[in-house]
Amino acid sequence: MEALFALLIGLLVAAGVFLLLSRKIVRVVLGLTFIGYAGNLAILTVAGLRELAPPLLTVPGPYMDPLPQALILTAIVIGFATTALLLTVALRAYQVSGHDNVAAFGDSLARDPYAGEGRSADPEHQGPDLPDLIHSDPEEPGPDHPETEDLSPSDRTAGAGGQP
Amino acid sequence: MSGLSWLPLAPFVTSLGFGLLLLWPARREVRVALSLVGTLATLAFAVGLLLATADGTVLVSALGGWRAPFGIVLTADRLAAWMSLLAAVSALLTVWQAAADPDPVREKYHLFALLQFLFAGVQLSFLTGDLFNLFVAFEVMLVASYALTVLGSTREQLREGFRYIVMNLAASSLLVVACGLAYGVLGTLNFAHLAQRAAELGPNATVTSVGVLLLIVFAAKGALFPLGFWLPGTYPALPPAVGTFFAAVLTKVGVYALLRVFTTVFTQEPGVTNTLLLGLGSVTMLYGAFGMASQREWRRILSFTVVSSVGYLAFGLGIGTPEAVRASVAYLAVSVLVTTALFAIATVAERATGTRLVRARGMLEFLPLLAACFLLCALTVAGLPPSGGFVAKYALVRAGLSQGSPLALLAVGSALLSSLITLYAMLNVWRGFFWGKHPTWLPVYRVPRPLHAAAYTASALVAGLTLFAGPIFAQADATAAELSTPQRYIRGVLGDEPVVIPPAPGGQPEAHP
Repeated sequence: MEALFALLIGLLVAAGVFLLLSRKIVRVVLGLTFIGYAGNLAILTVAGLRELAPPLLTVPGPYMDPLPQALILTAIVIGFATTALLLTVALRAYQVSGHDNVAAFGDSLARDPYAGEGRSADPEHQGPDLPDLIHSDPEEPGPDHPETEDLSPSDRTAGAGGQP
Repeated sequence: MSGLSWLPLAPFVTSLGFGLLLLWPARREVRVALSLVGTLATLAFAVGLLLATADGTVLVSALGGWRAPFGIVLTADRLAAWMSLLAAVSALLTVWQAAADPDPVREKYHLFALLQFLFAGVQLSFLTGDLFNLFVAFEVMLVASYALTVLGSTREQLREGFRYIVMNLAASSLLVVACGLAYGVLGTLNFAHLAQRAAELGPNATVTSVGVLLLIVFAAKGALFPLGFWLPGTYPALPPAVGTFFAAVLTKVGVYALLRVFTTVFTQEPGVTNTLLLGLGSVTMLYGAFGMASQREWRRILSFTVVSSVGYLAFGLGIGTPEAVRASVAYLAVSVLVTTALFAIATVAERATGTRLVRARGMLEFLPLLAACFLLCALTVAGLPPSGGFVAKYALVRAGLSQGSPLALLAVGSALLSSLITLYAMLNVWRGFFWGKHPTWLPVYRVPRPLHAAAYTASALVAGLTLFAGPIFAQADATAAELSTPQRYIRGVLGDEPVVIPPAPGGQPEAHP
């Protein structure tokens, strides 16, 4: 029984890691859930697998320690919540960037420090840091620095700077 | 002692309660006021914890009245109270910055409430006395941090946030597995009871491997070298105020967990984990230092200082002697406060020039006081004499030298080298941003006064590290003494009598009608 569970856990983790390494966002999310389930099964296995032993004190006969099952329940609830959140982020990323592919997000460190704000050093990864104004909601300002747009030339002081 | 048993619960409940209250739609002024009041109350409770634990008491609140090994307990000893206080101070400066910097879109989607939930998770992580509850606290903290990371949905935030979330979820799964294995081997999850049973079992390969698994998890949360690749990209993508708290405290939660687990709980075979921590720590500080020297943007450079500081802390933990633990506890205070101050300064600097790059030149003319603050913080990060950073780093290096193993000496060399590179990187920022002549075609924007004030206050706290190095080191001394005798913690949580597990009623249903 334990050997079977160990094999199953290994299989789930292997599948999870394989999916985690892929480029599609949805597959990454699925990979994480696989790893989470492997973890839950591991707790169940470590706590001892016995047949005909429900975690109930009120029925006659042998019983199991109920605590690992409480741990698993908590882990499932938390995993459910985080998976939902991750899928929401994935959906938003798809809406904003128009790709469901992690690689299409680009690499932020490939930016030329002297090329100015937002222009990338690497033509392979064009402009990943420019917010995509086409996809964004009309009520949301896209840029990272909305405050700099609001400043009129009168705010640009030459002598006093920002010093109070 | 029983009169104060509610106190470990107070910082967590206060933050959570104010977070829930902030979900109520209200005007901005009301939300700001509520956030500030909530954070101040948390800070007050943290100070109360520090005072209550100053004489070595271990405060315990048993949730639901279930005593220690059977129910979940929140505990506060000197270390937990110290971390709670540092987190609360950083939280107050963060809320201050968020209040001073109106951001209508993010505030509409509950920026302030999420910040309070984040503080609640952090406080719970510091004050919990249960391994599985630590996982729950991490999740409370991380879910709030995931939401804050992607709040605003710029493309950069989504990309970096996705990386951050996936990394942390993978680490969390590993933490669940480690909790399950610890329960399977030792039959308990309470820190004190785990420590007691691990001591009864003696050196044991299974327990050590659970410890190594926990080390990997906390290394991922605390951004130690191979697992910290997400950090330097994620933190600069965040809005400034949020980034301040993330940088100052979130990695320290991982360091705190390492300190707690390897000084209190799994102390039987320290050689394996200490060697790992020393090795990882010395690589992490060099990685952070070289990263700093390679970047040209304010908050990217500062993110690498965070990586580097985690490296120093891991180095201190890896040496493992009480002096090293003392130096690490003091360095924790230095690192939290100086990171808060540097990110607050970076916020003002970025706003004043309208760009994230440091190449503005000649800003000394416009922001003289900010320049002074930056110089102080830079010296603190690099660890040069007139600063609190020097005192803490000196103590770390001395502890490494007195331990004297080849790996420790190598790590000391790495610490000194990376301090030198840090100094070079910080002077590069100084040269690029403050020094020289300001190009007349580059505009200088006005920055709201409260943002300036936040940066100055944080820098004043950094200066306070030097002035009050004595009391800080006294506290660190006491903490190290407490951590080197885990029996006191165990007795404080479990009581003086040995834990008696009630006999199993299996097969006799009449015993439990």
